[in-house]
Amino acid sequence: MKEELFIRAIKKRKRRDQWFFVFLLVMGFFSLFPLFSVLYYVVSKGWPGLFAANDLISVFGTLEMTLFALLFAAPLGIGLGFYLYETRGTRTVTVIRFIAELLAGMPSILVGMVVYAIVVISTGTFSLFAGSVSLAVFVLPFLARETEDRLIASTSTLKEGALALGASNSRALLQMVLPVMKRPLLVAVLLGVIRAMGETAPLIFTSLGNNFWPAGVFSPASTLSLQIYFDALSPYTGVQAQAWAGALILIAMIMILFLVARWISKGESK
Amino acid sequence: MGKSLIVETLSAFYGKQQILRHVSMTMPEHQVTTIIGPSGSGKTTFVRCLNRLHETTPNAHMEGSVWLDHQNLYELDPIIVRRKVGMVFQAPNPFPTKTVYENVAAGLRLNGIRNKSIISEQVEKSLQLSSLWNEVKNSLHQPVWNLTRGQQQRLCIARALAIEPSVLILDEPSSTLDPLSALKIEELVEDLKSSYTIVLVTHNMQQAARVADLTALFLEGELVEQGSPADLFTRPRDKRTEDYLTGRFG
Repeated sequence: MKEELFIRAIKKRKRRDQWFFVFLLVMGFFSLFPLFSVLYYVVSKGWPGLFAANDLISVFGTLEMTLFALLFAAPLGIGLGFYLYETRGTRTVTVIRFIAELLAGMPSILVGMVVYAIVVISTGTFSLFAGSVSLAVFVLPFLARETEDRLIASTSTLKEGALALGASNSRALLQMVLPVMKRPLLVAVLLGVIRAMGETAPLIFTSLGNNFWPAGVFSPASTLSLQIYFDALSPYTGVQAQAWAGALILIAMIMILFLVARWISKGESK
Repeated sequence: MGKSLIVETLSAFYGKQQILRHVSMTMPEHQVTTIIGPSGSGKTTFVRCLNRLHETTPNAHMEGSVWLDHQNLYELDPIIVRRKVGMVFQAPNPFPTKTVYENVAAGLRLNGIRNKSIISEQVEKSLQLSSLWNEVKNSLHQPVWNLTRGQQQRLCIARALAIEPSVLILDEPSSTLDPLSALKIEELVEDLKSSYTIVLVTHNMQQAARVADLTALFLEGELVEQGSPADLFTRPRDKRTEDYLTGRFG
């Protein structure tokens, strides 16, 4: 009699378990559905417009602009991250960290407006340079926080180990901590690139977009995100196809960068 | 090499919180001084004051003085202090991107020594001292993660010895190791005391009793009692020591 009661209870629990699993499956499906439909749409609509001259211009614009942006943002952001790590706990740093957080949470279009007011007006032209500056400002707080987090996660005992051997603070950081941080920092920079690549809003005010090859760093330039934005607004289906093509290329580039980032952080755990 | 370390009215703080209260004690040369006490009693903070690592933590400061060889360590450059007072940490922390050889050489290189023959001589000597030489002599240029944790900890000891300190601090060096590796560290401490002044922090009272010439008990940031382990463990003078030893405390 007693045995039977137990078995019934267990059966009931198993049934409940199964129902819960079905529930999770349905939730998973509904949350993945929009993602996959975006992918499907972008691939099917973007494919025909691929290999147009405009795509190439935008691809190069994107690459150049993110590269320039990183030239500014990577050393500054990583440097700021090290500074935050080194001086954590003091009052000034609490203020700086608060500002960095505020910057990171600020709508990117505000960054575009500020860079417009400072760079575009003073140089007298929309330009690839101004676009890079706005992307740099956009990813800088992200890089600083990532750097600080990764430093905290991996090196507290390492730096002390070096200090205990009579290393100066800068030597401990440069010779012992930095080599260990190479991969994590590279991953942080790649994640920053990915964030910058997809940004559109700050570029509208700064880089403007261009249907032709830019004449130089100080002339307007297109990026994939700008191409998507402007071409999608066009009433002509031919131009709209360009927007889809741009979206497809952008997704492909971001996916490749993600894979590279994952591959790098996998090697790290060894 | 070994020289007595004399601490006078040492107090340490994190921000406004006082961690150590007016600690005065002498750690005699060529002896092992063990520091015992429950977690949070200030043992680690105390030894971190001896090589001035304490002050590298933001908002941390200390008062009082620490004397080594007639010099007040708090009037010297902290970099020079850390060359005289070596330290081994609780968990082995070899430099992960460097080889076995480079780990031991790190202290020399960080202090600007470039002469290759001096470095390799010193590396071998330090590995011999930490009784690791026979185990690693054929894999000196291998990455450190091929070593066991126990070996890594002895490598950290070799690393600390390579710059020829007078004092060697070991902060719970075997608490994260298996019993056999822990025993090896203990034997090593025994061997090393003829040439160094050794300060050993430990949770483990049996370990303190086995290796110590002098034992000091810390409770809530105060030095409660110090003496030979035989005296301290069997004839405690302070009520709190007795309470701690019998498990009524901490």
